[in-house]
Amino acid sequence: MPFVIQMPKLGHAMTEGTVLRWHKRAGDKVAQGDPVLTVETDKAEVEVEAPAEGVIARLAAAEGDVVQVGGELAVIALKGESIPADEPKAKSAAVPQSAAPAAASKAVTAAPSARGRVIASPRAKRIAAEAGIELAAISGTGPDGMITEDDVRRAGAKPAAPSPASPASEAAALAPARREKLTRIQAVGARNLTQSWQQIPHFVQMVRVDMSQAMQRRRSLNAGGAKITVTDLILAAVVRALGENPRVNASYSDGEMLIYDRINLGIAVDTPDGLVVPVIHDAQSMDLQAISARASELAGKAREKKLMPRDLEGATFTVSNLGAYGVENGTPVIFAPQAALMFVGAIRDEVLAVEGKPEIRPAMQIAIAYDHRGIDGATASRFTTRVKQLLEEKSEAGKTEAAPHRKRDVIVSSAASGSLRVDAAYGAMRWSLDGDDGAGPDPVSSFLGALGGCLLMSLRVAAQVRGVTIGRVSVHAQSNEKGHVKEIQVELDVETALDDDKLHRLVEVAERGCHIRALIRDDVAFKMTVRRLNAA
Amino acid sequence: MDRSLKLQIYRNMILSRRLEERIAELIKAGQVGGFMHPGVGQEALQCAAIAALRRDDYLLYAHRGVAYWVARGIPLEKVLCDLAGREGGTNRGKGGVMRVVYPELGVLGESGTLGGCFPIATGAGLSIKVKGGDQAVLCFFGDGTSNRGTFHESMNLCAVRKLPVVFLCENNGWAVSMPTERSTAVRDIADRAKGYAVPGKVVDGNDPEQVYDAVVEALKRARSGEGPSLIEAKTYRLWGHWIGDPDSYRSREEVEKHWRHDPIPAFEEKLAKEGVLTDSMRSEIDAEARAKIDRAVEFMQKQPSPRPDSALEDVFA
Amino acid sequence: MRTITYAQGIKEALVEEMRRDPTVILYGEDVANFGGIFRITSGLKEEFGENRVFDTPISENAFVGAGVGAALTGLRPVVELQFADFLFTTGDEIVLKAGMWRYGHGGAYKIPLVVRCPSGAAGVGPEHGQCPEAFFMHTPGLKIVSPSNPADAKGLLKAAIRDDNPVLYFEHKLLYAAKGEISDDPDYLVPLGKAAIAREGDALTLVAISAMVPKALAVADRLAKEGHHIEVIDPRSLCPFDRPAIVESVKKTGKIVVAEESYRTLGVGAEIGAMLMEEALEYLDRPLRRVAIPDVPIPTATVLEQFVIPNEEKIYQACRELLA
Repeated sequence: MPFVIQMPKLGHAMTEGTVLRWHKRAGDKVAQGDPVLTVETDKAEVEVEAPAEGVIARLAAAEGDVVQVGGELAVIALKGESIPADEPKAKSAAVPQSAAPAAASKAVTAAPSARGRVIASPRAKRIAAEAGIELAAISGTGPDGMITEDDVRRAGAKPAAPSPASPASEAAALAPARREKLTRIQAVGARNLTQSWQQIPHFVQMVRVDMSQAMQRRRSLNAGGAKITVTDLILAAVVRALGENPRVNASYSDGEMLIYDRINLGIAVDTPDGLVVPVIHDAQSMDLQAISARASELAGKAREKKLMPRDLEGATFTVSNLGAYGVENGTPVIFAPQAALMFVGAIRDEVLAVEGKPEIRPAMQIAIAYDHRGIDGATASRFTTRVKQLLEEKSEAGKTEAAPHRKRDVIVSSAASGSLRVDAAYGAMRWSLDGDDGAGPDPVSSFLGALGGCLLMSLRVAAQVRGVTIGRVSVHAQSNEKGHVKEIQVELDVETALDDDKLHRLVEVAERGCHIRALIRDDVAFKMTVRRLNAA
Repeated sequence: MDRSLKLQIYRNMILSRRLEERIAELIKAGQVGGFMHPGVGQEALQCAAIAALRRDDYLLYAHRGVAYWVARGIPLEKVLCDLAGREGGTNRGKGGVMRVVYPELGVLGESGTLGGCFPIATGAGLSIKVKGGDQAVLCFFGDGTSNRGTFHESMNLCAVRKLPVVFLCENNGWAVSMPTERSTAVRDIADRAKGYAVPGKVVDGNDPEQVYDAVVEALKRARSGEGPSLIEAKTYRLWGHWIGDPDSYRSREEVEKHWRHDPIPAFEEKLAKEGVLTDSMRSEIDAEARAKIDRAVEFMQKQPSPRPDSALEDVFA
Repeated sequence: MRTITYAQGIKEALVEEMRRDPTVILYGEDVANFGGIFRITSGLKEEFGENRVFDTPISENAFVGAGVGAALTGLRPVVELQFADFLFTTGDEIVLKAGMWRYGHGGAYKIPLVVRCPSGAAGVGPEHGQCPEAFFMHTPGLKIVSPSNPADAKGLLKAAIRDDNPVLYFEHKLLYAAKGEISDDPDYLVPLGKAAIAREGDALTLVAISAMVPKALAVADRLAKEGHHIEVIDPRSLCPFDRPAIVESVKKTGKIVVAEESYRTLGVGAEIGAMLMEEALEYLDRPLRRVAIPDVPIPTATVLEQFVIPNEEKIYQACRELLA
């Protein structure tokens, strides 16, 4: 059976998508995973890949066509199949959901689709253009609702309305040099912002932040090999402040505030195609390292246009950092339905009064816009000043962060030719591996030990940071039966009173913070199950 | 063969050999991009056979070497311009050196597909017969090409219609990398003539006199309405299949052995013994050949390339 | 004016041109003693002698190639293939020799050769029933004609014989008995490369080739009764192809159907469609419709053959679809 590529559902709210670009044409060979087309949803451009090897038998939609979710996009003749005959389509029966028939179902009444594409024969277009007739006003009677010459001729009696510009005002009329259509994403954004601006009573609080401590902290963290940016520190501070001020991590809806315990942080990223706002989901369970890594990953994906719709959905609070452009301050517009948005200005050396004396310090301004319908000035002030305070406080918090990796330096040597024993040395420590004389574990066991150990340490650190208590913990790590290492199973036993949700979030953080876990190749299956130990 | 005919054949052999050596230099130096199949070692049979033709006979040469054109009297300048793809040649850059053509001398051109020559030769023979003339057609081909179906269809058609065509096989032992004994079931290509009730004769292709006599006899038969003949001239290709052929399929010993039977020194020796060729004549003929070639190369190098859009011309008459 | 058959038209052309020009010869399998398997050439050997009209062995490569050789050396051969399908047995001689010898040799020679190719499905199956014009439209250097009526059969063949280029002359087997009027002018020539408007109209352009033309005319009658006056164009020559004739008609009608007995993919209709994209897109009011053989070989049994060969009903339906 040929495989039909359908318009994928790329987001909860997605009902249709636009075919932006075809990367393949009918007759092209495709391998599994080859990009076939790029689809634009309200939120992102997404590449749709070939599900199997074969030949593109037919494209069912043109670039620019809007196709319903589940609608046919292309047909792939699988390897060994012949390409289905390209017989004239029996109206919409052959291609029930392709773009043109989407108009066909209501063809007789409305050929100009609601989404702006007018389906008309080239001849009809020429005649309409010559006669100055607006095609969008004409009903199509041709195949698939296409506007034909006859339709235009019939409409000839009522030509398009004259241009509103009267001759007298012509000289003053401003003719654009060119028109640029907004992309779908931009257009959706425009609609959303209009709505936000019109419906949300904004108020904005601005504070100046002394960034000398934050800069200091960043330097010391990065000296240990990490790559933390100032933005990462700001994001981490925002996450913490949101956790303490949940009413800001919320949205107003029809007389009530929806307050979230998940913190999904939107971060505005500038790309050549405009601003996009990917989301760091569940930032509440991430440490600084994890936030930093995720922010950098999302920014990279944004620039490479590889964001998936899920990367763009569900933000509860947004940080917009335009500091890189030298902007010091601004009054931001909230992205509805979020209740607040923070604007971050450029860091500059400023003269600040420190303990009564003028000092030159790196400083920046932040401006936070709040939805006044659900957040009052006092609540907002607590949040605003908490962010400031977290960024300015002396770097004791550093010790609660997961220890960044620092350089290790292990020397391994094999002494005797007749033995598989190897000896490892790290500083003053000595141990052996895979001695046939039983001098030490084999390398895989040693690795599993390192993995388990690291996971446990990471878990302890995460618990400390969050101030939660866990009792005994143990790890049972095992590899698959035989052959190459293809699978690693870890059973993690934890003695704790935490509820399931919190426990799992904690384990997630621990896993992310585990350096050894990060070394396991993607094609090695890693399975972790978490069990509770009964309190002793 | 009289003395002047022998000298004419000898002169053409020398001129052909020197020209090919020069062409090889030009190609290796990158001065011309021609695709040339050298005929070094096969000049004797080519020059001798063509010497037997009348001016109004038709010629279909094979793809190996320049001796056909030299012996037929096509100006070297034209051959070189075709090789270089310039104006001033015979085919305006359309066919390269593989399609030298000269209607004034009955040179019909060349088939790019091996064996495409046979039906064309048959058609030329048909033309002569329909018009009642006494010309003949000489069609060269290689041992490998004798395995094309067109050879058999054409031999048979010429035989049943008694068309004046002389089929001359240059058996040099190799079809690119394929030795004749592996490609061809019969020992002598000439044996195939029996299948079409046509005379078939084997001659030493490195002996100009044997070749000349056989072709004269076959042409006489053709002109008198008795039909086609097949001559097989045994020879050897001393150079590679094309200029640049690594020639890895033949042993050096085999090639060395055949260099000892190079037709040019052998013919020189014979002519010297007969008192036809003296040492001073020999150097004179060689110098004359080199001078002619120098002039032709100089002419070729001054010729312009064809107009690019002339690529669109000559499709239809 | 006289009424003759298509077969007579071909024969008259041969006889008249052979009388007119002694360099015209005619040969092929069974053409002399038997008069051709379709009996077109009976009596010609008697009139012109065995030197100019003769039978050949079953050697298409040799005798088609010999046609090229004879044309190079001053004759105007007319070579008969028993079936157009046999063109494929002699691909080198047709495509590379007839089509390209002149070009490859810089225009040194002319090739006034006519190859007669009886074409068309007539219960003879995949290797004797094709209309393979489109294959040869793709090769440079060959002229191609496909007459649809006795007058064109005669006029095009006479013009082909007088032309200095190789011409593939496709004569449809099912048209041999078709009757039509013709002028008595001994120099009645139909120029190569000129389409005929077989019927004028403005509702739709129906391009029909060879045996599709009579079917197209019947469809036009039927549609006229329904109030649609369509234009039927018979290209007659497929190379050179009268592009302006079709473009002009489409400018008038905005709708086009191509009916051909070729395979659909890359058939004549495909070329016409591509040409209209290039030259007349803004005049098209409907998508092009092609009525052609689905891409299968031609089966032998009548019921199967008739399923794949375009017929009046299929052409009518295609037109109706566009006229709706």
